[in-house]
Amino acid sequence: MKRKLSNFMQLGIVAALGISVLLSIFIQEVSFPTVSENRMEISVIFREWNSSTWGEIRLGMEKAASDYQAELRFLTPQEANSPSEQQHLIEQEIKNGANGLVVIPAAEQVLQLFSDNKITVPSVTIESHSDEQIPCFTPDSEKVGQLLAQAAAEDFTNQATALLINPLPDNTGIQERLESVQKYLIEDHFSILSATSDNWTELLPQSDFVILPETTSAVWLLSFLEEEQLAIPLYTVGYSQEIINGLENESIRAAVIWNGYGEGYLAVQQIASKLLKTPPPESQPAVILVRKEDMYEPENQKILFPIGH
Amino acid sequence: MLFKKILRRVRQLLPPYHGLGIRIMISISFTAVTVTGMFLLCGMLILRFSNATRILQRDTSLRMIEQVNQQMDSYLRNIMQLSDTIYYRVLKESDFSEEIPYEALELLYEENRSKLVSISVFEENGSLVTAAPIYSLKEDVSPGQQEWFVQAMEQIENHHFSTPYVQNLFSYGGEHRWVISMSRYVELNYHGETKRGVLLIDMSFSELGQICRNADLPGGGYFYITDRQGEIIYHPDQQLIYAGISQNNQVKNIPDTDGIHQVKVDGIPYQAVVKTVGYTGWKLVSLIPLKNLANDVDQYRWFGITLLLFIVFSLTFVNMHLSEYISGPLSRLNQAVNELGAGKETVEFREEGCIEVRQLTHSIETMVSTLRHLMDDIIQQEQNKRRLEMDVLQAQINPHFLYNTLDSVIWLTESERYEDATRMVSALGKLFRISLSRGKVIIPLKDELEHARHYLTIQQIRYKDRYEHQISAEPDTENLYTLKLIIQPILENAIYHGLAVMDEDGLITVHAWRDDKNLYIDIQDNGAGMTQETVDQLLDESKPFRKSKGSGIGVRNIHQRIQLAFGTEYGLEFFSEPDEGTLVRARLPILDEQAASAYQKEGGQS
Repeated sequence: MKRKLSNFMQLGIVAALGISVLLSIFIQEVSFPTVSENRMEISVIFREWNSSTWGEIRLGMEKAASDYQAELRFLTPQEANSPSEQQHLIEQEIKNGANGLVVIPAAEQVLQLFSDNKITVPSVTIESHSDEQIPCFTPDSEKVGQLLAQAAAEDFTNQATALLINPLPDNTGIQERLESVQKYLIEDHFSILSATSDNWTELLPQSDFVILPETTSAVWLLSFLEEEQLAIPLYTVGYSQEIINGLENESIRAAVIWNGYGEGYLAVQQIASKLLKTPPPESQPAVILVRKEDMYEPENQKILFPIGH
Repeated sequence: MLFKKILRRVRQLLPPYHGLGIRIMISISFTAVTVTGMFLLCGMLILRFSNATRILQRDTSLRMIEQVNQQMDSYLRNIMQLSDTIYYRVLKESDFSEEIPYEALELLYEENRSKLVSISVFEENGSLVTAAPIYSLKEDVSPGQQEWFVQAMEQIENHHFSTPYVQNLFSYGGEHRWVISMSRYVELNYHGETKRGVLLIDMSFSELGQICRNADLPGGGYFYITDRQGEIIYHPDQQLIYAGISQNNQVKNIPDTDGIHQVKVDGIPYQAVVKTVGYTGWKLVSLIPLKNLANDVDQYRWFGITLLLFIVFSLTFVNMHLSEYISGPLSRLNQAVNELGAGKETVEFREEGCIEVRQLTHSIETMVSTLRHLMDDIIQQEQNKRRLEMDVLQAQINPHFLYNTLDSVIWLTESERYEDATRMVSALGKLFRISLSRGKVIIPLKDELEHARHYLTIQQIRYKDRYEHQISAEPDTENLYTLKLIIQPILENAIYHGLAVMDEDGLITVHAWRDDKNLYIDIQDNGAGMTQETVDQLLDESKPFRKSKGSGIGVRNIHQRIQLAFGTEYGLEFFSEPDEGTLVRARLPILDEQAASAYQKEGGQS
């Protein structure tokens, strides 16, 4: 009996030690993972792809993905700015198990997915704002519109006629910027002509300056004006090389710019923070109005020109 | 002294050795010694390894920053040497009124193309003299008002390095390049007339940053560079800092002095190594989160703990089996010896375990075998001795009886009682025939009773019919056997001691009966009887044998014979009252023919 008890005790000690060995290995595996097995998968769905316009955002996103060990999947609709395709892509990505979504919505229709709570993963929008629940790291449309209107008001008297072009009438973000511009120009008693991509050429001769708060269309308009040798001042947004060159040669009279790299970084950081349950970023990309004469100011340089890639 | 005290204290706490089995002793002592040794060894290893890791990490940081610093210094010195070359070999040698040394500048530019964005020379008023590669100066720029120009003109002996900025002097085909400018004061020769000017070398920012990016610091560390005023020259998160998203709090918190510092940035402790970059006065800083550094040490610690636990586990496991291997055979041997001691006849001795234990088992088995043989011999000897004793006792009876009987026959013949003499001799003959019984010790009860009858017949003749006798047996005793010649000596005592004082009316009865276990032969007389004291002394071997009239063979003799033959639970019992008579009861085992035969063969107690 005594011997049996002794055997049991010894077996118990050996078993306890064996369990301790396994436990310590388990603790090491948990505490010091060699490879992150569960990398976050974040899908980024553009409304169109243009490296000049979206390249900086993408670089910022990649930097954040590197910092937070996330995996990014960049997707673009085959037809640029197609809301239905974008919707399909969003649904497909959620179905494929994406842990988070960064969406640059093509239209209100896409934003509706967020409002209808059909998107069940942490999400962020860029350019167009959905509601308070979904963060958006693009500068406030109201502010952008105000800065553009303010710049035009500084250059022209209220006798001038402004042509406000909306190349993407369904795009909420751009629409909001234009509404804001219109509001402030009306306050300053400017004459306003509103156009879309279908009729803006007809209205162009009647206007003294053009406000087009969308980068890709603005770049296209710049090349059009250059080809047509039309010297109509343009006010726009963005930080692409063409916009900077436009500012430099004064075909763009003023541009509202912000740091696209930071914008992309914050978007992915927001999702990663939510997934990792860490405090979300509190910063917002700084937004400034730039003209040719102040584009090389040290603080403006830091925002306008990408560094070190 | 202290050690002895501790040792004494430990001994008091530990259970006494004699209370522990060999297995536990081996297990505990081996495990304790090895585990203690391993604890000390692993503890020392972990400690040394942790310290070595810390030192290695510190050395790595220092080595890395030294390496980056050397590369940075080398890079900047190359640029300064280039500026010297341009100044002393090109600009000083040239007469700018005759020829602009564009080709020489272009050649030097091409040689250092990977590092440079442009080389340009300006006059005192800020107008461009030449540049390589050929870029047109933008119309609306004023080089003379720019900081690099002003500094060069103000401090003519020095090389001046700027912080990163986008160079806007030239149009680089629509590109906007981040540069770090090195400017210096130069003198330009215009046909013997010396004019003041500035040499500007724009270094590629990305090339400078590449030096820091290439250095791989442990623990997720990184390098950054600031100028004397704390303005960032290079930072891996420079774009985020410029965008206002990342705070450059670390830059504000790091001490200016060269060396290793522990600082807290946003509440997180860092190891910061600061090194001044040669001529420029820039600060090269490496930052490694201490948590990540400690992470490596923690990993080593955990690995050490796991290793230690595994070794302890293995040692305990091995010790357990080793102690079982050593003590198991000993325990089983001990058990076998105990069983043997407890009287078990067949005990298995398994020769197993170590060679010493096998030899011990073999020796004990041999010893036990030898003991068994010796014991058998002793038993045999004891049996022989007992038989001899019985034979001796038996032999003591026969001569006495024969003497007395023959004496009686002589007496009868002399008294001319020939008929009685004949009857007595006849009875004596029958008595002797039964006595002999072919040498058997166990005879049928009826023969023993018959023997008694003949004896009483003889004695009755001798004592002139002073007493009567009755001999009877219960029917269920007919086929039983008894020890030979046990009644006759008792009858003899009854006649000589019990009835001797009586003149007539003496009665001796012999009655055999049985119960389930025993055969009883009662021999009773109505003679003088005995006191209890006398009865008690009859069978007390401590009392001297009392010689008296008669055959000289006491009842003690009968009692001893019965006990020698059948065991101590058998023998004689006496019930006597003075003047009333005496009953002697012989208790014997139930022996049928088969048992008697078996006993006869064994020759003693079964």
